[in-house]
Parts: sequence; C-alpha cells; structure tokens
Amino acid sequence: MTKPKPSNYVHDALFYASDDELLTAAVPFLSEGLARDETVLVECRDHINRLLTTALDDDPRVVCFPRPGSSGRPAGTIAWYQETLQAEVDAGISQVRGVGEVDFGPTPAQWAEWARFESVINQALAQYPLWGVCMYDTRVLPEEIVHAGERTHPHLMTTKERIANPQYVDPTDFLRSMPPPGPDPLASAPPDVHIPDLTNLADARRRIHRACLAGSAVPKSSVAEFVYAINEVATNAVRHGRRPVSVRLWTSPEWLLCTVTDHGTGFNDPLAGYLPGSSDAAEPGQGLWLARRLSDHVDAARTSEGFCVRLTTGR
Amino acid sequence: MVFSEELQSALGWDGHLLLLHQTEPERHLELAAWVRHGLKRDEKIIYTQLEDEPPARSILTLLANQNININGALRRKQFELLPLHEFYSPDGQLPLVEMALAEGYRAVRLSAEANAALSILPKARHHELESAMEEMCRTHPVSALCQYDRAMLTDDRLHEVASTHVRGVRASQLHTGGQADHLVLAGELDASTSDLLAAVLRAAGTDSPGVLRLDLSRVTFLSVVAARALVEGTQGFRACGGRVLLVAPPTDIEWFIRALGVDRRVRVELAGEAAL
Repeated sequence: MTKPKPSNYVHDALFYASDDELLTAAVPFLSEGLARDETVLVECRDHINRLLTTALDDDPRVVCFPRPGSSGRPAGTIAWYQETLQAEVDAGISQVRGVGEVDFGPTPAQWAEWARFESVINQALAQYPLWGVCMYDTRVLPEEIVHAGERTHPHLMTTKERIANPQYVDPTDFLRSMPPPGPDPLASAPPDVHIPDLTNLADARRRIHRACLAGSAVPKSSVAEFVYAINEVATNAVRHGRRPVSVRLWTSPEWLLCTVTDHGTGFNDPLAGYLPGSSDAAEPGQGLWLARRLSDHVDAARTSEGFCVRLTTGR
Repeated sequence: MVFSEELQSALGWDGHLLLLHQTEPERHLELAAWVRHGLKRDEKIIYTQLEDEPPARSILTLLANQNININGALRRKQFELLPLHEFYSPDGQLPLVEMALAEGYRAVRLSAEANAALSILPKARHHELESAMEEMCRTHPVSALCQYDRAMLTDDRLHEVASTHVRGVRASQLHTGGQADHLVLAGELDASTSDLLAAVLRAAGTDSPGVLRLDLSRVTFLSVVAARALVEGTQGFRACGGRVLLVAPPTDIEWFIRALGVDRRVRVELAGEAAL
C-alpha cells in the first residue's frame, strides 16, 4: 500500500459493498494509527462506529464523533475541522487519522452541498496533518453521491491497496462542473419583500426579519442566522457590486428564499465563501463564508438582471 | 436578535454629544429628543443657528413640528435662541453657562449645527471650542449637542470630530458612552457605521492607559465589516502594547466574534461583565 508523507492532509475514499470489505480495509488502517500513537477518529453512522470500535477491541484511545453533516452545515463543519485539527497541532500531536461517512442528507440539494464539501476540504484542510478516509457504503448511497465521491478524493483505498485516483478532479474544476441549482418554486410568486434599490441595510434587515417571522414556521434562531447571512451578501453587493442592488424575499411555512442582485460582474471563484478568507478589509470572502455558515444554501450566478446570490434556509 | 428601535434613549442625552445625522428627519428627531429631555429636567437650553436660516428649517419650527411647546419655553427664557456672534463670542461659552447657572438653572444645554459655527469660525478655532466643550461637560453641569451632517465629513474630519466626542456619539445606528478606559458601544454595527466606529476606536485608544474595555452588552448587531473596524480601529493601540477587552457581548455577537477569529488573531479578549 502506498503510504503518504506525514504532516499534510491526505484525503482517501473507500467504496465498500459489505461489512467485511469495510472491516478488511479500515481496521488495519486504524490499527496502524493506534500503534503509532496517533489520534484516531471514527465518525460514522452509529452501527458502523460500533462495528469498528469492536473490531479494535474497544481501544479507549479511539475517539468517536457523529458523522459530518449530522448537524451543522458544510462551511461550519469545515471550520470545526480546522479548529479541532489546529488544537491537536497546538497540543503537539503530529498526526491524526480517521474514517468517516458524510451524512449527505435526504435531498439532492443537500447531496450537492456535501459533495462540494468533500471537494473543498482537499484545499481547506491541506495544511493539517490528517489522513482521512471517507467511506461510501455503495449498498445504500445514491449513484449520484457515489459518483461525486469518485471525483473528490485524490486516492482510493481498497481491501488490497491504496492507489492514486485517476478520476479525481481539482476542487475549482469540480465545483464549476456541478450543475446549477434549479429554480426555487417559491420564486414563481411575487416576493413578500422587495427592495428594488438597497440603500439602508438596517431597514432591510428589519423588514426581512419581520416578514420571515410572520410568514414562516422556520425557528427564530434560524431566521436570525438567515438575516445575518443576507446582510453579509447584501453588504458585499453594495460595497463591491454595482447599484442598484435589489433584494427579494419569499417566505413559506417550511423555508425561506432570498435573492440579492446587483448589476456588477460578481465573483468568479467557485470556492468563494467556502474558506474563511483573510482579515483584509477589501477581501469579500469572509462575508460570504459567514453567509454559508448561517444559511442552508448559497448559490451565485450571472443572470439577465445582473449578478445574483440566492440564499435559502429551512429546507 | 433585537432591533434597536429605541436606541436614542439607550445611553441618555447628557454630556458632550455628537449628533451625526444622515438625513434632516433624523436630525429633527434626535434634536427634539435632546431638547425635550432638557426641558423636562428644567435645564436652560441655549441654541444658535445661521442668521439666514429659512423659516422651515428654523429650530423653532422644527421643535413645534415635533410637538414641543417651544413658545412657552421661550417666554420663560428656559429656551434661548442667540445670534451666532453671541453664542461664539471670543470668550468662549463658559460665560453663557455661568450666566444661566446664576439665573438659577441646575444645568445648561448648548447646541448648534457645525455648519453654522463654521460660517463664522475658522476650522481650527471650532476644533478648539469642541475640545474645550469636552472639558466643560466634564467639569460643569453642561451638556452639548454638536450637530454634524455625515455627508459633509471627509475621513480625516470624521476622525477629528470623533476624537472630541468619543463617548458621546449619537448616530442613527451607533451610540457611545462610558468613561476613562471603558467605552460603551450601543446599536447595530454594520457597514454603514464601520468608518465611524473605527474613528471612535482610534480616538479612544489615545486616551486609555493600557487597557481599553469595550462594553458590547448593548450591541444588537455586528457584521463582518464592523468586526474588521473593531480590529483596525484598535490596531494602533494594540501595536503599542495596549490590551482590548470585548466585554459582555450578547450570545450571538460573541459567536460572531469567535467565528471570525477576532479574539484569536488580534489579542482581543472576551470577558464577562465582571471585567467592567
């Protein structure tokens, strides 16, 4: 098996079709980590965590987490990994290894978000000493998710070997290749709030907040986060885009939809907002990154009206 | 999330205040609240305005439109409208204050628009008077409301104006207060307040001994741009070894500060209310 150099992120995928295949590939990998006194993580469905920890003789050094996606959003999960791994590095740990299963969620829109996550972490975690194996149970996962997994991991682990993945696609290219989301059905009706020329952010926040609470059963905390997210996107449009900046909001009992459109050319980096960005005041990335952490979906595209950022939450 | 629709009463109407307005309706509302506060407390109010101020813009019309019985206050001389040259006499404003106190008033309020002052005073002299007013409000029972149109201020001028009103800002989304090494920020901090916030923080850093406590308990919104202003506005102070404590932020604001790494990257510390 080809072993990577230590100290940088290694992102493998393991596609398995039986518990035996899973154990044959994963247990030696995890055992090696324990033998080397590395931090060893398992982040899978509960019964898979149990399967693995039992096979490892319930070694108390194995740390179990819920799987990525079981709570939180992709951008927030990336931030959690960065903070957790940095804490390990600060504590003097030289290598972390683990296996995990992303919870892709029940809808194609969520599958796409978490497929982007799988791609973006190749870059987001590049500086951290983590050897992570993402496990794909081909018995239960939709073909679309498996296919995305085949394109987002530079190496594949099997029961016999570890090999370079010829289907791997660089994150920028992968994100560009993802089909744009379809139209949101809410947008076929007139918006509940329409601000055709945004000049006052505070007033816009108030109107949006009131409309969300009045028109939706989305929890108040999620509404508050959504308003923060919209504010960041609207601020970017006002500061970096071209007026007029128009804001539209649609509400429904289950979810909220907002579009922020300006007449500028927008940004062309598909990774924008997936990484925290710098503290440079001129850098628009941090606002978009926060928007991704505080809403369920953020998509950007050039339209006939201009550059449009669409945010949804609640679905 | 709480929206600060009652921000105007959050930190009161006393002291050396900067009314930084962006619209006339905003100026009218805030000025009327300030006058109303003084009238209710039986304080003397002395005002001046441009000699050729159109009637529609006159302070008397403005206050009447805000349902203040200004004629009654004029009759009993609790409210006095002075010509510019008397308000800005070469002896400064202390004689006006002393005369009002001698009339039996417990406190005195003074207000004017900056453009009125600058119609008869050079900028440097106006700045001197602002600095003197800052001192007078500390040492005498005096409050002043200095009215500036935000659109008329360049970045340098904003910093200059902020430096003489660090703890007395009354802008639509940002109020400041506090004393000595303790600066209270109240309101919604976003892109529209970020340059003012940065100017206030730069000025606050110059008169704080070694620790600057920023009380965030009344901040109801914080955006990325405003968080950057917190970092940039305190950069000079921290570069000289100063410590900045962000005290008692509400839960969502604290989350924001931590998520942006403000507390990790720039030696800004989060502290509980005990630090106040």
